[in-house]
Amino acid sequence: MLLDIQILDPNDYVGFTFFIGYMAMLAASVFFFFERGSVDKKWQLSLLISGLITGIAAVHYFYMRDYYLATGDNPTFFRYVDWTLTVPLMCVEFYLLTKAAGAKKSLLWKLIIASVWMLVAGYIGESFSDGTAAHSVKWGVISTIGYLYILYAAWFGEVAQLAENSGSAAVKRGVRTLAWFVLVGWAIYPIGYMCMDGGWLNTSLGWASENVDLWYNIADAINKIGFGLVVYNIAVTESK
Amino acid sequence: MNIFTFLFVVSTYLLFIIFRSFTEVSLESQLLFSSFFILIIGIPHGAIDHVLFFKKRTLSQIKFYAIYLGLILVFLVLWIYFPFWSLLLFLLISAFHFGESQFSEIKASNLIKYLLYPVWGIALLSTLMHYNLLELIDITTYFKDTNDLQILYDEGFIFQLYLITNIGSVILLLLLAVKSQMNLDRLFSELFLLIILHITFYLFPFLIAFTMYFVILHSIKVMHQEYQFLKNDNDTFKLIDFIKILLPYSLLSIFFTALIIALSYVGIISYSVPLVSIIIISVITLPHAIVMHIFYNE
Repeated sequence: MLLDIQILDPNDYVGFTFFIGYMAMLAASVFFFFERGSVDKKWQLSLLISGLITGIAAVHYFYMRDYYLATGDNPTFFRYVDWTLTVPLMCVEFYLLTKAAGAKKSLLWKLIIASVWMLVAGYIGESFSDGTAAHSVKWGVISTIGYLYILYAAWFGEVAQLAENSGSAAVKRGVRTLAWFVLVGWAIYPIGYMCMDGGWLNTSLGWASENVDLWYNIADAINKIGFGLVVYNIAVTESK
Repeated sequence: MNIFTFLFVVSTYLLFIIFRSFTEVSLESQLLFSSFFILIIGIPHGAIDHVLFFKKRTLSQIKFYAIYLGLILVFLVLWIYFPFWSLLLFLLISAFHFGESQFSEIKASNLIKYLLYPVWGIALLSTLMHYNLLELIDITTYFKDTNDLQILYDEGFIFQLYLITNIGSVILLLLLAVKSQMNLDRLFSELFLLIILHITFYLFPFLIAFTMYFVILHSIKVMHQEYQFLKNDNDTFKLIDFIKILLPYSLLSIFFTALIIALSYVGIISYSVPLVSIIIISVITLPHAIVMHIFYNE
């Protein structure tokens, strides 16, 4: 069934965001890979990671779009496979940006562990949901611990301090912009999470569980492409 | 986002999760929660007014205490004869004080500053009232003397105030950014904080919402400013020294507050406990707001 051409209903906003998300991720990957050659060598790895983040997401979106159109279900499993690969890569970006200011490997591992913790707990909360609020809240809170660690590191902790000591205005500004992405952009995901059956927005405000993917798609497009563009901007500024 | 906003966001999240476990949080539980945090953190933030004042101005101790206590006494008399106007004055002073502590380090023209402080403060208070108006009316109708103050809680008036001051705050913040008196990062932080305050005031009951703002975003922040100021003045000044100078007047204030509330509870003072609490808070807010105004500006 997945090999058939799937028809996208013009009123299907979730399907539309899957479609446009795929195209945007693909375009962003091409952009980052091509632009890699126009920046200093020390920034090429950062741009490669940016391209990989959007590239991995594009492949997943291509599949998730068809899966959604064919079955009408949320492609939760593939969504989390995508995030498990791309979110730690976003943490790698933080490490690479602050490496010149003395970031250690331990910082990289702490950020990766926190991001994996956040995603695994989120996956359990979503995939093994029994439709009760207790389940969704419990795993939501566990997941948030990982998020808060990354948020703290980016705003006040090691990452922020390394950026402050980097001596580069572009890195300082860039890390702060990425911290804003973590604060505001990543906060869109819990909106989707809370739309699922048993979630607060679902039970208290009546937001439909079909909205889960809508929110996730919007958040992915903002965060993955936005993250890459911020890194690109730092790389270009520092290469002049 | 500063560390206080971060603390506020984390606390809001945790409290929201805890509160979700209960179908309803009783007024008694709310009072207990609010009293505890206001007494142990809210009151100490104003307990070193005398220290801050004497670091900024020269005046004899007797004169300072006479003026400080005199202001308290005058406001107390005002409360007895004109409760409605006193409440209004208290809200305006509080609004200005909250706004001033929020933007104390912003370097802007006096016109914008003196517009921003009250507008932001009134936006804060009217937002809190707007989202919790029915609950506020419920609390105040419970006692005869607080019932008389209800004239202030007109739904249409509060809504207009909420709308005008929130829009006004955003315009003034944008104006500061346009005039380069506030950088973009700070502008986004302030807009983010406004959104978070709206969500918090919407999600929580009146007392809990106010306590969270007052304790985390106001009192802890002001205490941090006070500590930094005293530390800058004396390199050897430590946190334990700060706690030591906070303690005497905090304990004294807590003791007298508890005593007056107890006297009201047993009926020796003829005012209800909620009204007595509002009066106590307002009379100590007036001189504190004046001292903090001097502290921030000189």
